[in-house]
Amino acid sequence: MANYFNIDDILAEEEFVPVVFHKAANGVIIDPSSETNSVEQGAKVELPLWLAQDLYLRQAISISVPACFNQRTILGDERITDLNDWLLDTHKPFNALSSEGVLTRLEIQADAACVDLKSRSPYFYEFGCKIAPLGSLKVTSSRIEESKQCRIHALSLSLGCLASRPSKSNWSNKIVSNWVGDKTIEILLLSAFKIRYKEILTKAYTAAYTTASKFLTLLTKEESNLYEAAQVSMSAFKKWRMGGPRLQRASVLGRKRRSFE
Amino acid sequence: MHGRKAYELVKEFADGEKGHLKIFNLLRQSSIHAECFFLFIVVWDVIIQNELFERVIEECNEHHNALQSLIRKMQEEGLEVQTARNADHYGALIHHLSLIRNKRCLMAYVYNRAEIIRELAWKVGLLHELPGEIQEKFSDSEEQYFKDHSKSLKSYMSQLSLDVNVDMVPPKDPYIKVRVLEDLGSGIILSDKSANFARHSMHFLKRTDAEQYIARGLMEELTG
Repeated sequence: MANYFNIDDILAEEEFVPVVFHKAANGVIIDPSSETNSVEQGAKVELPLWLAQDLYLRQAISISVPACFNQRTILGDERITDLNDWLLDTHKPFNALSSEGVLTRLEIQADAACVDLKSRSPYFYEFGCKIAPLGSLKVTSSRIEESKQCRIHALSLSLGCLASRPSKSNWSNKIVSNWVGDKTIEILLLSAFKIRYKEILTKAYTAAYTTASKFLTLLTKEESNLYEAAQVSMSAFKKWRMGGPRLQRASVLGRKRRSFE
Repeated sequence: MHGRKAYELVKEFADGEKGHLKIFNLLRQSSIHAECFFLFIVVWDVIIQNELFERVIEECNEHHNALQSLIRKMQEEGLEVQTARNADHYGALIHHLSLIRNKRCLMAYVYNRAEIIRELAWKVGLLHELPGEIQEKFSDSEEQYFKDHSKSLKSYMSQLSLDVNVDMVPPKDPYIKVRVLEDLGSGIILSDKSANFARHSMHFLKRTDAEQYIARGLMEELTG
């Protein structure tokens, strides 16, 4: 419980995940479609992560991958065997939930730095880091080998090596299910962060505030902290180089002078 | 939805500027008593907004009651509360988890505010009163906390006979040039001299003496 008092940690756990109840529960108002004060077995609802996490560990519910990480339609769905086919197929009915997930992944593969992660989830990385290990609890030794293969596959996808991807084998459909346990979340997070990290630092050091403000709206909480840290260090460096007064008025008191001055 | 109020409370804290306090989100008893009845209705809306903290505690009580009634129901049905896994058990579990969550949110809210208050005590509060616009944002217990913290800091320093609050970087020159920004008069006695600190006058002071006045915005350091 190292993060017990951490505000960001608390807020990250408030993100919603889609779940399905395996057990009924009485006396709670969680399911908006239910008329009584209870949740029935098999009910599909969205719960905040802090609640879903514990219920999941007690095997009362199962958690689906939240829309912002979902990639079922890329790897898991059997109907889609080739990504390019899917992209060209304009007649494909768009499912709101899965299309968002697909777009996140596709956009990150295209240019991670320009993706609006904030609107997906302001705690994209923290949320992902909390979701990802939930699946691995169930991974048995026989599946570990498969997931290794899956990693390589996902890596080749993220590198854009679509051409070199192995011919249709059944494991890619088998392993990546809609439920949590999807190991590619970790890879997605890592590759997205790596690319965006570089971009954030470059922008923080060089861009003027007016051009950066547009870019800032795309950043998650973690990233805007990084951006601020980079800017502070830059201005500290400038101050050190130019020289100036070391002691200053405490910032809590505000930068304004009193009105009578 | 469970835990929503607690989330709003924490969110409100997170949205504030770093290191700055907002008004403690709690209905103050005294402020109500002062209002007349018709005014009371007018300000009611405002008060509703400002009592999130109490609302969360209320919600905790509701969860607690629901939890107990579910457990009673299980006992009446003759089930072993520890091992039974029926719908009531999971209902109770959800209430239990909501309680824990609410507790965490409340604790984090108070804890993080206390951290800011401690920092304030170090930065500005050691020798002087805090400016009113900051002080009015404290709750009563926070105000006490601030006073106690400053007091124990002061007594610690006087025991050590060392000011542990000065700038950590050793000065190149023990004296610095300062300009006085507000009329301080001649009442201030510094370690090695006393002078008339009229507004806009310039002085050559020991850095350790000047630091606290600069931090409070009463003087500014002149360089070059």
